[in-house]
Amino acid sequence: MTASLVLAFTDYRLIDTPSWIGLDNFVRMFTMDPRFWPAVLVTLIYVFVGVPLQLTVAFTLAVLLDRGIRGLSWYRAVFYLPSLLGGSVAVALLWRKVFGRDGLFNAVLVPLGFEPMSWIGNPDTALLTLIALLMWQFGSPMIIFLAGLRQIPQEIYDAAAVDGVGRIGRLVRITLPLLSPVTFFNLVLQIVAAFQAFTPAYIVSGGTGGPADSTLFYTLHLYDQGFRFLNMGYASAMAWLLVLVIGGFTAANFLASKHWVHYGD
Amino acid sequence: MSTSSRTLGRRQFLQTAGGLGALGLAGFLGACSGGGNATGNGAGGAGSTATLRMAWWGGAARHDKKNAIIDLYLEQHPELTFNREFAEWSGYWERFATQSAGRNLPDIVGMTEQQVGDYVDLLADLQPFVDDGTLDLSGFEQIYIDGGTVDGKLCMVFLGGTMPSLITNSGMLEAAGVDAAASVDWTHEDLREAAQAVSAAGDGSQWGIQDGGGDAGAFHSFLLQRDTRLFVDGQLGYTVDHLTEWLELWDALRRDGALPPFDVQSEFAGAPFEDTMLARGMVGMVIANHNHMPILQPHVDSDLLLARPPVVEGGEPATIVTGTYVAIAENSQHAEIAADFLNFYVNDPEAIRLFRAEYGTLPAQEQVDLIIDEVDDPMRRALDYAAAVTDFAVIDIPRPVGGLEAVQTIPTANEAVALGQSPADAAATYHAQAADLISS
Repeated sequence: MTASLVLAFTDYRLIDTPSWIGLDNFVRMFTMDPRFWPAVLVTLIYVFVGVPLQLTVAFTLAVLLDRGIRGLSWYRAVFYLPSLLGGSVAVALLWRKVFGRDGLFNAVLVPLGFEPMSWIGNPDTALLTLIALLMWQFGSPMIIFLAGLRQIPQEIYDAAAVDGVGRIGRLVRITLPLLSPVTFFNLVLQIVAAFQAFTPAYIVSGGTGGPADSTLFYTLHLYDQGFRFLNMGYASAMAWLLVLVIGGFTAANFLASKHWVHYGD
Repeated sequence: MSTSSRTLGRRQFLQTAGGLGALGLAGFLGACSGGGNATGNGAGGAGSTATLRMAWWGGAARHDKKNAIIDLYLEQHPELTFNREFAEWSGYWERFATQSAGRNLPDIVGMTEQQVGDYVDLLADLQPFVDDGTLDLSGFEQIYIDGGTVDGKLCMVFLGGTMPSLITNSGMLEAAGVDAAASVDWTHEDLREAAQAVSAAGDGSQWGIQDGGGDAGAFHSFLLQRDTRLFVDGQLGYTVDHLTEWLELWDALRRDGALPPFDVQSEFAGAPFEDTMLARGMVGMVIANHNHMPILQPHVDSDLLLARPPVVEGGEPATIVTGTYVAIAENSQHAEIAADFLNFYVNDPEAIRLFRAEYGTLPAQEQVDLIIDEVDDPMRRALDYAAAVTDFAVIDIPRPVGGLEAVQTIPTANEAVALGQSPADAAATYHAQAADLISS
């Protein structure tokens, strides 16, 4: 890792000796690389649209499953399954089948009168299919939410019910505040994971980040630069910038958490 | 074996396990490996004098062929051991890059002119082996020896070549009233009319031809018709005007409805053979490497025909040949054995029969003669096609540093046009980008 930090300031074509170029890699990144900013934008949309949606699904299902329905452990296992398969090659391939022109999604929409289109082949919708894939991997945050919900003492709900607080009120006034440390944990974890996502875009776009760079994740661009085009110095610089950005967002998260996370003790 | 753990594949694992079994270290391990298709080179044994590593890319069928050839060689050389490292295309080059950085390349490696510019210094000079008779290339056509020569150094041996060609589904074309057999002499205008007819004959989910505007090989063949190449003297060999003209040719097809819509085109862009638009009967034609035709044929009912890239106005027929090569790493401790193996690979009749024309055009007529009566019909059509276009086939040359990334701007430019940018604007933008990547 230390080596890669040094390499970030060099021109290193992987097979030649690295030569020191100072901040040139970063200058190139910010001012000359035509694919850099589009890749940043794609990644930010993926993280800041995808993660909240994923956590919303996870939270909703956790609350529903916490009702003590029959066969809970079975549901829990089934819902967790996508998280296990989540970013794998097989699922990414499956996603092509679901959102392709002849895919499952169109099989539902076309009879309803929609025009058939390829959701993964259209630059306007390709990223949405990857966000849908991220949402589908709600299992692991859901399990954590469930564990958190179990920690909330039933007496608090009972007391609130006696005081005449309705279902929504209990959710907003009791569940959300008492669950906030768990929500915070999930948020930090999933944001870090989403920034580093690589496999879904790599497989669904056939390694190109296409169509028209609409799924060019930052990590995919970094990989291209390092391993396809051998610009290892530049790739190292990109990797370190990613580390800094993830660190920055995590720190910001911790700072903001003071205002909304309640550690009950 | 010191490095094998870094790249241990399933087959290597089986071999290693088999070797351990043979040494009697653990009987049950031997039993485990016996169940796999042991590849017969657990022969390490007492007389073992050298262990070589060989790496290549490809799918399962190709792995089997390569393994069979190595096993055949080892029958004659039981004292040797071959460790085999294989991967699909992009995984291969990723590993190659890291192994290069660590000066730890396998003894025998696969190579193409796309990458050799970057790696030439890490490859052994093969001329001494040719001079002392270890490596006999006397049957090779000169252009294929030239193709493996970079800056005067013979650093790779040609195994086969592919040419971007027009592959037509004769049944679909005939159904649309187009004479498919005539495609061998088509101009670009003929192609446009035919593609339009195929689109019109369908019910809205059938199109004339897959968008070939982003195919760098097809663009390269077009440039040959304009008396230039992708790269000349280490710089871009084409102008903004060349790129504009090319993008316009394809945009005309697009406007005529001869190409699939953009979303369909991109969905199937990287599809495996059996799932391509041609295999699914969604398009009647495609511009693709000619050695893909025999692979595609089983998925299509009617005959697939091969034709040279269509001639543009004022041009003469021309096609670029992109090679697949094999090379010996400079860091190899067993270069002489590796050279002997390469000689076996390209000259032994049994080895040639095993590999056949897997990589396309063969470098020596003797090789063609050996297999021509044994191959199936599609493969024979591919060999016949290669013979028919020899007169205007031009071998590709190594790309300058940054060339791989620069070529990537061609599909990007074509995408931009498909999404509404004018060909002239897209050409200006992406030509500048490509030039920048070459010079930086």
